[in-house]
Amino acid sequence: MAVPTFSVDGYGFPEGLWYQREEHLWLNPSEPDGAGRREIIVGVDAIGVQALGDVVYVQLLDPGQSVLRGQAIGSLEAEKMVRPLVAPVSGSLLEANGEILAAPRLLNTDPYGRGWLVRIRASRWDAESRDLLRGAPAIEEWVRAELKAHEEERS
Amino acid sequence: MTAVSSPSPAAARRAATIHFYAPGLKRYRTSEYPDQEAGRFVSVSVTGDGCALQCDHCQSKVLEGMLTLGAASLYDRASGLKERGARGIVVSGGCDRRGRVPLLSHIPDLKRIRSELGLLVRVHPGVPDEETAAALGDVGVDGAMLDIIGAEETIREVYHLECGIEEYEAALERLDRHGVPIVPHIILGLHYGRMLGEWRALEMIARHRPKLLVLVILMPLTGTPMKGVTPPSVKEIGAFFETARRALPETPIMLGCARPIGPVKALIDRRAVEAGLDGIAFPAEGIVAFARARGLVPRFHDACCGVNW
Repeated sequence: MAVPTFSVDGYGFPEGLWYQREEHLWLNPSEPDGAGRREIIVGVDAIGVQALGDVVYVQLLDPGQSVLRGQAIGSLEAEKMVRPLVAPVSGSLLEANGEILAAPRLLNTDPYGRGWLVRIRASRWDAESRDLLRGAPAIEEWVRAELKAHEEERS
Repeated sequence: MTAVSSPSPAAARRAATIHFYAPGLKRYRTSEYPDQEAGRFVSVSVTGDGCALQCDHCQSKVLEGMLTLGAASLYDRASGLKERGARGIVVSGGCDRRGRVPLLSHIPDLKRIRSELGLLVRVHPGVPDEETAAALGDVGVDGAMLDIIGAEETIREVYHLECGIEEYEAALERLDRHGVPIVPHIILGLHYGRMLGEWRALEMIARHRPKLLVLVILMPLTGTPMKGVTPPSVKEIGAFFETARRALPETPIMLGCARPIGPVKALIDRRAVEAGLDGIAFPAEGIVAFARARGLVPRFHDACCGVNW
């Protein structure tokens, strides 16, 4: 079943995801388990992918490590940009997407699907998720501000 | 018997430092270089993405990442950039059929950019003629960056130019004679991935007092006839780094922006450090730590190679 997606100036944002503004990441949290813990799948949103251009190389930390929010856990490299993948939440790194390591272009062609990057078991979701965006009105306002700032920078 | 000369004091001082560069041509952020300000050193193309040569390794792709003039003059463009924090610019552009970037009509603006705005100016002149070299000498540019090609087949087949390698040597001589600091580039593997004229280019450069030498590696760009070409091996690249270091012991040598990305980039960068090159643009993750572990003190510059502010 297709996930409902809303669009802002041609950039698609699936509903139901959470978005981290500074690094243009999307987060898809699982329902909490019996202990209240959530697993979070993380990827790059449509604007982040557009800014990168054609991705040619993805480096990710090996699973099993503890990560802190804001810590670099990988690197994304395109012809015109290099940027780190910064952990959007603290926790433990459960999985790095092996498929994208072998085929980095998946980040461009299927950013919300097979182009996901890492799976993290969040340790402080309730506190750290407060800084994330969710819901069409908030996301649309943020995206429009981002696009305007980008236009001004280019002019 | 040949006397073994000691490195000069300047070269010895240089050897303890390694410079890392991140000009605005590429947005760049790694855990070791987290604070690039891409607006500090900006590339502007005076021809937009237009280029008459359409060289097989580029086909204007490099120009696509640069700012264009649009309806503005070069001075007005530079003035706006300075207001937003620029300290220097690269004035670049596509070439005409003779391999020249059309800079002459912008010389009055370039002079004002230097005298009124105080911006540091690097130029890509292509293969400059006498008039352009003289005018650039009057401007007082920080450096003229030009590819030096040491094989006629490469000039003809890759650059689609009808001239010989002597024209490149003449360009170096002209720039030098007019007091324009020379920043020659050698592209390793430019002949469809094969090393061909690189050693000859190095010999030519060594005769002309370069301000610094920039080595870059063929980067097979998508959308060009060189997509899919295999660049030289890390072993070949490393050997050339060492050859260049020996040929120009007193000249700063940098590993420039263009080189293959992915896992091989880190290997190339390590060889650059091991060979004693003086700087690296857009270093791969981990290279700063690698250099530190070898006792080198890193310095970071949001600018083109050799701009050490």
